[in-house]
Amino acid sequence: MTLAATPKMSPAARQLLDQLVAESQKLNEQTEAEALIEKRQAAQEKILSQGLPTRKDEDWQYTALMPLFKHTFEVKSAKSVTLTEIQPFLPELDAIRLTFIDGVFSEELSAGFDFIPEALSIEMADADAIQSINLAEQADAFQLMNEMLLDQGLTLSLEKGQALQVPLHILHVQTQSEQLINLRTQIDLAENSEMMLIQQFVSLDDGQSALVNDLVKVTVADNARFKQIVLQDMNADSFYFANQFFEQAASSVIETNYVGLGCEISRHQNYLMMLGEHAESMQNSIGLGTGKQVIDSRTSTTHQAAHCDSRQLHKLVLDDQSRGVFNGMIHVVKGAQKTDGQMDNKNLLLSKTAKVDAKPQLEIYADDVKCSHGCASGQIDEQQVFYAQARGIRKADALQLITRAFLLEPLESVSNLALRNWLTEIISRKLAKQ
Amino acid sequence: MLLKVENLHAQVAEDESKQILKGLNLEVKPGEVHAIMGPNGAGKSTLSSVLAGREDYEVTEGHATFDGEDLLELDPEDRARKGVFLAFQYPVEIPGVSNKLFMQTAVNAIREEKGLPALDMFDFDEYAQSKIELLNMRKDLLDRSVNVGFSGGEKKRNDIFQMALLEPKLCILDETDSGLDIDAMKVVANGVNSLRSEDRSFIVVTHYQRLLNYIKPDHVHVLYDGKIIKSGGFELVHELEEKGYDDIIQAHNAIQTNSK
Repeated sequence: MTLAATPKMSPAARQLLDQLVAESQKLNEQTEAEALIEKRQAAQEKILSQGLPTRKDEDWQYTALMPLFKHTFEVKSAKSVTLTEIQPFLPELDAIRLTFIDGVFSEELSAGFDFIPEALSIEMADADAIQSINLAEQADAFQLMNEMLLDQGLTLSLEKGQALQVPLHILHVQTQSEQLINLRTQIDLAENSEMMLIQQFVSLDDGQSALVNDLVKVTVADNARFKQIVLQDMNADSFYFANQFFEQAASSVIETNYVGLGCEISRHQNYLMMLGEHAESMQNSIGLGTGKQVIDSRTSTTHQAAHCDSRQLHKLVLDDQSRGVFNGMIHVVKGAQKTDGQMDNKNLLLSKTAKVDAKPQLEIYADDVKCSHGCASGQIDEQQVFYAQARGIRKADALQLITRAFLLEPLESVSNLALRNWLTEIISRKLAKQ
Repeated sequence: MLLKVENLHAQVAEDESKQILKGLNLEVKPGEVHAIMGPNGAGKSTLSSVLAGREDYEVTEGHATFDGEDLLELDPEDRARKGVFLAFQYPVEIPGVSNKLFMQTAVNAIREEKGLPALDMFDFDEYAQSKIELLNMRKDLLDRSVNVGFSGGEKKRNDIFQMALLEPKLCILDETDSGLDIDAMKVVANGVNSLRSEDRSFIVVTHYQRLLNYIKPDHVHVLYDGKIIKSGGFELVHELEEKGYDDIIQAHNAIQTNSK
């Protein structure tokens, strides 16, 4: 290994990177598949040559990773967990539930297999063997990290013309300290099929720090519909980094909602490519930060084809000394005429020490398009609070009522009422705890 | 006495140069309807705001008691819970909060104060529907976000609806008639009239007499330069209608000058 070529990093960052490379080597020693080993090694070399991000990297300017570097994460074998222990996390709705403990599938904690139709294939194996995900040349450190630690993957594919009658719920439970959870998921929706996917990330206990690094690729064929909820509600000592790659064909629909509540640092990034005409996409996010949390929500949307609509609403509520980051880019290529792209980001700061950095961007190379972005950050409106007080509502209750309404707006798009109520309750609980 | 205001002085908070109320006296008995009229800048809205507890103003002198209790010591929510209601000159929009949730929370806050059990969703719905019919309001009113996307007239009618739900002892209408067309004005007047009772009093603050023709107040006061300079019965409304404020103000100024 050519460590000499490694760029400048803090000693702590260096230590974590070395640790992760060692983890990757350990995996290689246990692996027989040459192709997988080669993939990991290529990623190792690349991450060693570009290093872990520092605040000098434009994309990481507002997301300081120092707290992450204090840790030594390892891949550990999963602990045993009972159904009673995970029960409090489960929504009361019919679903196909796949439960993973520390990244490892647990059949006994999973349920709803009767709902699995013939048309849905669920595969878990050597990720390289069952998936076709190739990282881009400009893959960032967390994508490379995901690749060098690549092991088991989950592949879901739904056949043409089939609609899943109930949501597919993937529950990730983290149970150990310094646990490294590296996830790779590929989802393929064939023509005119439909799926609702819920990905939920929780911690069994407080105080145990884990690192979740999730990489998801979703391909949605002509006229297919993919709906997704990602609920990240891990403990305040953990870290979450997700990269989701979406590709959608003509007349397809993608709706994705991210709810970020937990973790010391969390970063959720969508890359969405609209490849066929008349495709529609909706990307919403909700982030609620307290204490010293850092919540980073990002989208990159490319209008590659004409006549596509993209909608986005991102809301952050930040209290105490928490920090929020929003970064959104809409890219309209030459020829993607009649594009309609809208991106809104609204942030509410509840304390004088909370902070938000927002960067909405448009890059347009077509001349007949409708694109807009809006961004507003501010404090709670005193007039609204007084209006509620003048109706007998206590100030604290008024603040909560207004904050909650502000934060929940993106969920209005969730048409499954039981699901929306479940999310509303989880968010309200965190708001009430403040 | 329901409300007794004595020698009330108030200024814009933290700004001594902006003294607005300069020794205002007012007594309101249960069941009475008082109108407070006056030219722009007289202090009409400040009086409403001070009575409701808006923090933008600071009382520097004087007292106000409500039902024998020191009103000025109470937080805005406690004033509301004890029965003071302010209909806003500019009702506030609260996106994402439905009228239903907002008013159910408010009604239950006031019921809590009275020692009554909270209304659940179904009981509240039934109660609210009765008021919607009473005031002839739009049926979808409850499902909409508080005042969001409402016209000026709709916002004020929504305030009257809220007043009907909360059944206060003292209703203060702060220029509720400004910007209303004749139909909206009738709805507001009709709302007020249907809520009139022996133990409910009103203070109708307005610049114009039009609303008063429908409401017919028992007492009319002219507010000028932070003080009430003339009080009378309903006939004062007609006097103002014919002669405007100038005569009364000039007469007041003449007395002031003579007494110096």
